[in-house]
Parts: sequence; structure tokens; C-alpha cells
Amino acid sequence: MSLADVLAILENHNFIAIFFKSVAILLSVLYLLYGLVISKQTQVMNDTLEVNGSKIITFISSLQITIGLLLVLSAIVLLW
Amino acid sequence: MENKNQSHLVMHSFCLYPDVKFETQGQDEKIVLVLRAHPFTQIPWVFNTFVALLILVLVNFFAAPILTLGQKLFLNFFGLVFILSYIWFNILSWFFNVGIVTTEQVVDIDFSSVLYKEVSAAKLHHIEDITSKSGGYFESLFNYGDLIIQTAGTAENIEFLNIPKPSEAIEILNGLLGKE
Repeated sequence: MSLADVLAILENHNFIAIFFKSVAILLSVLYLLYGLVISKQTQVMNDTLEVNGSKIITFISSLQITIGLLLVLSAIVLLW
Repeated sequence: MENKNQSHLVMHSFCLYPDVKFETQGQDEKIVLVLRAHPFTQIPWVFNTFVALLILVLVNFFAAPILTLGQKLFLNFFGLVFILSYIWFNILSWFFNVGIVTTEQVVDIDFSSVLYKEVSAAKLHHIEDITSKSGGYFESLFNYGDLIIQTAGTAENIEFLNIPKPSEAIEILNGLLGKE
């Protein structure tokens, strides 16, 4: 494969699109994992210190899981 | 729940007789004071948030000709989600890192980077010395500092860092120690 072929691949917008999509899916999955960890850790925090707004705090932390799933879906759908 | 003189000062970082409970709280134990870091010490991450938002705007501005509509939408969605998560992470970190003074003990609850939990406690009658440290322009201006509680024996000191009104906190502690 010559240098010209390599440059042609890199300049190819399909390559950029595939690269972007791969990174997007990877980051979305990582965010989903982060959301799961934070949601669990928020439960631990609420058990350690019970405050009046515990339910709201738990809800917002759980929302991150939903947003993570939406991110993964959007990475697949929007970048089709 | 008893509501005697309940007050939440300095944006809930100096709370007297708050309506909270903690994990190892005894049945007859009453919480007198809950302390959090002074809100001024949270400015760095607030500033970072604005910088991140600015970067997102700039990326939109410069990447607009290169990316497709779907890519731009995803980039903005992910960028906003990332920034909001950063804000929430820091809020959680500030909110749950507390120092608690009760009628029986002092408790320091630390969540390092949200993931690592450390709870230190010392009974009031084990407290040997209380030191307040406050130095610097902003600490004097906003009246916040560190409270270091030395306990008997080889147990580690309990530290409440960057708390508002450290002198008043000492006053409250001394009041409780005097009653012991």
C-alpha cells in the first residue's frame, strides 16, 4: 500500500464517519457504565447520610442511566 | 423530629439541628451541627463548567463545516450530557462530604471522588484538643477554615476542611464538651 493510498483512505469521508461513529459508541457505553456506578454510589451515599431530598438525588442519579442509554441509541441512529 | 433552632446558613454548609440522619447514629443521639465545605471553595469546578461550555460552543463554530448534521447533534448532546454530569458529580461530592457534630460524637464522612467512602468518628469524651486554622485573603474575607479535632490515643485526628465559621463551630463543640 503506497502513501497515496493511505492518504486517500484518510481523506475519505467514510473513514471519518466510521471513526466518529466508533468513538461515539465507545464513549456512550463508557458513559452508561459511569451512570450505573454513580447511581449505585448515590444509594450508598443516601444510606450513609439520609437527607430530605434523598429521593430527588436518587432520581437524578438514576436519570444518568436513561441518558446513557439514549446516548448509545443516538450514537447508533444519528450517525447511521 | 425536634426542630429546635434549626437553621441552614451559608448555603447549607453550616446547618444547626438539621433534619438528617446518618448511618451509625444512636437512638437517642441528636445531631447538633452539620458542616460542609464553604461554597466559595466550589468556584474552581464552576469555572471549569463555563470553560467547558465555551469549548463546546467553539467546537460547534469550527467543526460546523466538517461534520454532518447527525454528527453535530450527537456531539452537542454528548457535550451537554458530559458537562451536566460533571456538575452533578461535583454537587454530590460537596453535598455528601460532611462533618457532623452530635450530642455524643463527631463524625467525618468523606467520599473521595464519590467512589471511596471513609467515615471517621470520635466520641466527645475522647476529644483532647480542637484547633481552628484559617489563613489567607479569601479565608478571612469569607470566614472559612479548617477544624482539626485531636483525639486521645493513637486514633487519627478528625478534620473538617474549609468549613464556614470555624470559630462558631468550636464554640458549639466546646459547649457540648462542657456538658459532658
